[in-house]
Formats: sequence, C-alpha cells, structure tokens
Amino acid sequence: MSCKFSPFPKDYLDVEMEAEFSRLLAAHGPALRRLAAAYMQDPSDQQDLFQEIAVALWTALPRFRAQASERTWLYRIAHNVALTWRARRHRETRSEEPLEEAALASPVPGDDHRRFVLLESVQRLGPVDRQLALLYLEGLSAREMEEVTGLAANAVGVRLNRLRHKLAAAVSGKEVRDERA
Amino acid sequence: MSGPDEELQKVWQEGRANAAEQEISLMIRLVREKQRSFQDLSRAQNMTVYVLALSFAPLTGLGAWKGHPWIPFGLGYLIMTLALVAGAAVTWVAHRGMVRPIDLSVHDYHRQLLRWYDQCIRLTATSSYWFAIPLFLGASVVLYYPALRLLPGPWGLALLALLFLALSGYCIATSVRAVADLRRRKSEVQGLLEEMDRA
Repeated sequence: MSCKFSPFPKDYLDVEMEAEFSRLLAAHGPALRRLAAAYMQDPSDQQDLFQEIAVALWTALPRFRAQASERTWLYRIAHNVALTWRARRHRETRSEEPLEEAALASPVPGDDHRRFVLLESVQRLGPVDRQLALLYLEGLSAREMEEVTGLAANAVGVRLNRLRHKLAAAVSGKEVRDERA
Repeated sequence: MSGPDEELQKVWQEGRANAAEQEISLMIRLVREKQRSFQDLSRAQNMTVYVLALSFAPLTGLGAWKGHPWIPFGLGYLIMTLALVAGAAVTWVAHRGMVRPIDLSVHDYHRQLLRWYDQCIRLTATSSYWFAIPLFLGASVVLYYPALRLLPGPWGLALLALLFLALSGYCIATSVRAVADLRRRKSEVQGLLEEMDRA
C-alpha cells in the first residue's frame, strides 16, 4: 500500500497535521476499535486503549516517512501501545482480579453471533498469535505481517496457517482447544 | 485471498461503520488534551529536580565557600552541592535518552524497551548512592556543630548518625521497591520476546 502523504517538514502546520490525523482515523478508526476490543475485554478499557493509540499516532505522525506503508506503520504503533497498555492494566488489576480470568467479550443484543465468537476466540489467543490473527483478519498480507511484528517469514506462515483453521473452526461452531499462552 | 479467508475477514470487519466526523473532532481535542497533560506531568517531575538543584545548589555552594574555615560546614555544603548538581545532570541526560520511537516493529520495539528498562534499573538502583546518600551525608556533616550544641558529647553524634541512617535507609528501600517493579515489567517484555523468538 502506497502512502498518500510526504514526509513532514519541521515546521509542519498543526492544521495540516490535524487533517492527516482525521484522515487516518476516518480510514483506520474502526480497525483500531476492533483491535482495542481484541486486547481488552472491558468496554471502558477498550475506549481508553483506543485513546492511547490515538495519542501515540498523533505523537508519531511528524516522524512518519512516506517510504513506509501507512497501514503497517499504523499497526506497528497500535500493537506496541496495546501490548504495553494491556500489561500495565494487568499489573493494576492484579490485586483485584486476574485479567485472564475476567469475563471475555459479552454478547451485545443484536450483535452478530459469529462476530462475537470470533472476537472471543481472538481474545483467548496468546500475545503473538493475537497480533497475527488481528493483522490477518484486517486483511494484511504475510509480508505486511512480517513488517509489523518483526517475525520471520516462515514463522508467520506456520502460525498463520494454524490460526486460520482455528478461527474458522470457532466461527463454524466446532470445538477448538484453548491454546492460550 | 481464498474464500474462507474472505468469509472470516468479512465476519470480523462487519458491524461498525466508518468513524463519524463528530467523533474524529472529539478525538482530536481529547488527544491534544491527553498529550499536553502527559507532557506537563513529565516536565513537572523533571522540573522538581531542576528547581531543587537550581534553588539549593547556589545556596549550598555559597555555604561551602563561606563556611570553609569551619571544616564540617564547608565540607558538608560542598558534598550537598555536588549531589544536587549530579542529580540535575543525570536527570537531564536520562530524560534525553527516554525518547523511544514507537513505530518500530513489535519485536524491535520490545527489544528497545528491554534496553530502556535495563538503563532505568541501573539508574534507579544506584540513585541512592550518587544522590540521596551524599545529600543526607552533607546535611548531617553541616548539622554537626548545631547537634553538638543541642546534645553535647557522643549523643549529638549519635543523633546525627541516626538521622542519616534513617533517611538513607528510607531512600534505599524506596529505590529497591522501584527496581523490583521495573524488573517485573522487564520480565513481562522478556516473556513476550522469548515467545516471539521461539515462533
């Protein structure tokens, strides 16, 4: 995917930056919300994580170089923030209740059951598989997944193949073993 | 992309429509506010050290200059001045190294995070020895004459030693707790990296 905007000069105007930021959020906001939902179970935590990602994007925007793909750049930031944020929330809530034991996604009235099952399956994955599953579900290529995660090509291929079957089985209602790390 | 892939991606991506314009403008306001408050907080923490150093270092420096005929005064103030200057300098250097690019790949970012935790651990673990202990030692040496006046004989010296040990002990205990917390965070990052390396 090619980038539509060029590197920012040092005196990059706030107005232009706001416009770029709005365009990014309009284009990728729903995907970032899905990512937040896959990382955090609680809706208020999801909202907080989404805001954290938005702050990180805003901060990193002036350093964005057009040579990089906009989508991989955005997902790199989103996953880095999400992993750090989830670990922090885990530490904070450890005394109250373990995050892993907390209720997973709860069905919302009118929500597509298959989507709910898929979300729950992604939430149950370990951190590395979750990253790959999210990138795969958002339609990134294996090459883009390598760029985002930093994993070797063969590792991405092997894991992705297993994940595809696992998620498809979950959505079609087949029993899948929980391989949470 | 094959049929089953498309089907899964369709299920995943359906539901939420594009972000509303109103939501985006609200998000921009929120992001600006959050970023500002974070920068303010970070600046305020560093400013405490700088203000402490800038306010007291000239005074203690002057104390060292004027008090040098009385060795405990001169020496105590000199130790305090050096500790304050070292504190401000290390805070400045450490803050410069804190800017971490977040747009690296997940693996590289966490490797960088690991190095950053190592630096923080080293700095926090040793901060008592190059800042807090010299500062309290200097203050105790300065208080040598007043303490002797208050409690003559060995009692004055014992009081000073007790005060110094209590304050230094508190600082060491605080830094030990902070290091333990940093080590916990580091082990979480290490766990993720190990899993990625195993993949």
